[in-house]
Amino acid sequence: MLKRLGRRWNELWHGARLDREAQEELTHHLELEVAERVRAGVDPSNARRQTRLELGDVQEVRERLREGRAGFWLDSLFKDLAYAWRMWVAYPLLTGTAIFSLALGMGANTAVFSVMNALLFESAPVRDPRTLVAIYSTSSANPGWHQTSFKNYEDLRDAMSFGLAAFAAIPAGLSTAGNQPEQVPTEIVSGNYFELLGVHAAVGRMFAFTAAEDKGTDKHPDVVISDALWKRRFGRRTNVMNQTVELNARPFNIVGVAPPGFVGLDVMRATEVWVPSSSSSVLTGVNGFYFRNRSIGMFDVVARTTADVRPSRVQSMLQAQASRLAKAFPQDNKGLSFVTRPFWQSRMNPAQRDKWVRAGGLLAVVVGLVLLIACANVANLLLSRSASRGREVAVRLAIGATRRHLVRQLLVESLLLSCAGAVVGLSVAWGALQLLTSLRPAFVPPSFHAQIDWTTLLFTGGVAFVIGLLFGLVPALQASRVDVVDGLKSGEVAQQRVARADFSLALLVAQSTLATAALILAGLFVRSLGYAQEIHPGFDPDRVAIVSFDLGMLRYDNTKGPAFVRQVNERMKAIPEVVSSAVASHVLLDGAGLASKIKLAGREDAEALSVEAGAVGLDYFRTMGISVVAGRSFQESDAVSEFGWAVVNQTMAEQLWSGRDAVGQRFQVVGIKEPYFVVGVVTDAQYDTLGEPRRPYFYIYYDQTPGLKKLTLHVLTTGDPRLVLPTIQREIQAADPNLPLINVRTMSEVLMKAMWVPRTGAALLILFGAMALILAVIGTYGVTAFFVTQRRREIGIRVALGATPANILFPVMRRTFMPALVGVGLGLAVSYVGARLVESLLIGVSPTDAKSFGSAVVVLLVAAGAASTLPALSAMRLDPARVLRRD
Amino acid sequence: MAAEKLDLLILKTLALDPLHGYGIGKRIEQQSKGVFRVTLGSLYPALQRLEKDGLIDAEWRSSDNNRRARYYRITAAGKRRLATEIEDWERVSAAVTRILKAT
Repeated sequence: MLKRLGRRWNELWHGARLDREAQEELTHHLELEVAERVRAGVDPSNARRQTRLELGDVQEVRERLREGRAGFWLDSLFKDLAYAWRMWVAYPLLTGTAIFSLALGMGANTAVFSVMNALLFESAPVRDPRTLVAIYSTSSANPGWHQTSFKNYEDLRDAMSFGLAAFAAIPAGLSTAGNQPEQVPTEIVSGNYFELLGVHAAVGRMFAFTAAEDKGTDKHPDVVISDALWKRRFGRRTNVMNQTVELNARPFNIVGVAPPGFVGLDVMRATEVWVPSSSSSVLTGVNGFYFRNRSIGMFDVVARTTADVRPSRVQSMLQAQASRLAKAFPQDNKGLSFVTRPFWQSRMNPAQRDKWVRAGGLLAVVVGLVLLIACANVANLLLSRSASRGREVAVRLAIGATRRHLVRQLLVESLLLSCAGAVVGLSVAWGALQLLTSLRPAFVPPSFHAQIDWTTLLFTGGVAFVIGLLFGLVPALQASRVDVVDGLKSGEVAQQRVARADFSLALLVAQSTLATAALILAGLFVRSLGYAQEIHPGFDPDRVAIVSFDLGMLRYDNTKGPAFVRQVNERMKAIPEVVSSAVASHVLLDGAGLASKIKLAGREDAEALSVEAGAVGLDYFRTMGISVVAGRSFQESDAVSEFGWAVVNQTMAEQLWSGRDAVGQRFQVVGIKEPYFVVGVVTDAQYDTLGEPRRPYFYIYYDQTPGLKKLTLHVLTTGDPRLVLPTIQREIQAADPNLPLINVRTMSEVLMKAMWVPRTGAALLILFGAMALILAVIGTYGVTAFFVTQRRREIGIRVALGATPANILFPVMRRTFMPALVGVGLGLAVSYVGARLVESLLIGVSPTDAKSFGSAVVVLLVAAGAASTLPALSAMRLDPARVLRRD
Repeated sequence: MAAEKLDLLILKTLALDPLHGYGIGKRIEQQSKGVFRVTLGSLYPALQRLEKDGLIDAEWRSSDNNRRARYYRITAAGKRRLATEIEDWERVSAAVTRILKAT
């Protein structure tokens, strides 16, 4: 056994010597045989000839012996690599173009993969993520994946055999030692949160409370902070334990610091403070909403199942609980059921995630297209080059190389090209990721690092390997099919040329098809963007400045709150550039409003309707430019009333009281005892996202719901709102110097942000469309140039014989422009059919929009036309005499 | 001739004396009365194979006419394999003979 290893080792290192020895041995054997025949009386030269015929050829056997030795493969590989390198040096322009094309394609793919991977597939640093399951609430009236109410969560937790934890994001301002509070992403979590997830404190300890303690008892104001916060606010000092901080002006005790990689379970949120639910009542303005109402879901729930429990069993257990809860609380839990999702799929809101998956899929397809075009390019370039290598191949075949070896060597060349492209592409991708991290557009998670991790490298390597084979195989097979005799004579044979030409044509068609599709897609998104910019949001954003603040941060109770608001409004009125001002609980197009379920008076048994709502102050509609079409807006006297007053939008009026006058009608909000009466009707607006369909919405009066502490002041100005912002800020701070102002901006900026999907989409697709076009043009130009070079003798002769430019151009164009034409046609067809898939991402544009299709076609035809005629034109300017003499 | 049978013959030849490649080929030719003629392309790959499997050993020695030659000899493992192969062959050929002789 050892001997065997020793042998192999010997073969690896001394292969050349062993080969020489074999040569010696074989030759010796032949000599001995010849000597014997001569002794027997045969003529020496005859003896030699006979021996060779009977015993065989030394070189052949020597080759076979070589193959049998260890290290043969590696040796051949090195030789092939050296050969490939020499080829590169011999054709630098071609190599450069090929690597450039590949780098472009691979860089784009790597970047997209890296971002999508981080967004959609990254797991969190918790114990055993595979046994974690996310639980969502849903109902027949309100389908989809929704958060669960804390009361439902508690009942579920008590009933299930495996552990459940809950968490919810809350707005909070953190201040230390009496400094100004800073807004930090904060989460309220159930007492067993860290224990369930298996996250241990890096410093100090995690809080861990039993279920009984979960009920807001105020007794344990302990918090855990994140590593980032520890670094930023406390300089990583270890004396941070048991230090007091103020969250929303209430004191809390730091008990521990989370490990550096842990920032909560939601990938779009880098949580910095975790507050146990048992202390939640300490956080003002949060309690009722988050804990008391069974019908309003505010918590994400995660469950730790064990490996042996099957998902179907979990589902049926949850179903049983859902039915039980629905029966026990028919009003709040009507039609309730629970649905689960594997943990890795629920690191962001499922509806959002599905949108992301679709967008990511589209992006992947587009960059895939770009890469395919790059591959077609390179394949074509390699094919063209094989035309001039026919002689070389014939020579190699003649001296004994097998066709298999030849194909293998050519494949090594291609793989080397694709690897080089991958390496350059990686640097391109890395640069793009750095840019992305520094710009931090809205879709990038806050904890995203621009890094190329192992998964990405593996992906890039795999892609490089596959495309190396893809674009290298056919040219390699083509090149090796050289007939030796003909090859030695003239470099290649007629049928070969035709076969190569056919494949090259096919590649050109493919390129044009893909480029057309990419350009059409880009065109659609650009038009979509244009349309998005034209959508009227239903309010007038141009002269509205907005400033948000959270009264909950500073102990404002239900009387101080409205009083403060009134004071601020007075100060606003005093500013000459201000026309009107009002507070509101939500900013339109910047996140969803209050989710509520309503029922009509006298129809308590019917299904509750889900309607969104927002709380607004006086003058809101005037400030926002929303017209009142019936009844009136709110007035001060509305504050003191036992009833609730509401202003509904036109869609709600139509849906609930069609035909009748909505003013004066009554409805009931589930969970609120007092009925609401409609005092006015306003025009519709866009509430959550730009381009959403019409939906019902109603406004309630802020002064009637002073429990809402997170408010935004909207100010209508006479001129540019940005110029007035500093004054507005100053006045608010004069009213209360300690109140931190969050998000000081204008309504126009909010609108801009709402458009980032169509904007980013258009930008990216234009970029990739341009890349596709460039690659297609390079490809066509390269092929045409080689084609023309092949025929320079012919062109020279024809020019000498008096051919006109048209005579020369037509054959060339037929060869290279026709495929482009065919490709464009195919591209149109493919896009027409495939455009339906992106319909959901377009705003206001039909997926078969004529302008987009038309402009893409024109651009491509012009580019292809230029690329296919320019080389021919330059060839015609050559002196025919020189050209003919050269060959 | 089939590669496995050649392996067997080589082992048997070397069981008697160590020999170089030419010698092995000549011995097989002589002992089979000219029925088997061994070519370079069948002999040397077989020798490489047998050496790889550890059934024979080789070393360079200076031969009769003062040239050096590579001499092969059988190993203990080779002897064991030879015995097994001979046994198999005798069993198989006896069976075939029986069938062919049946009328």
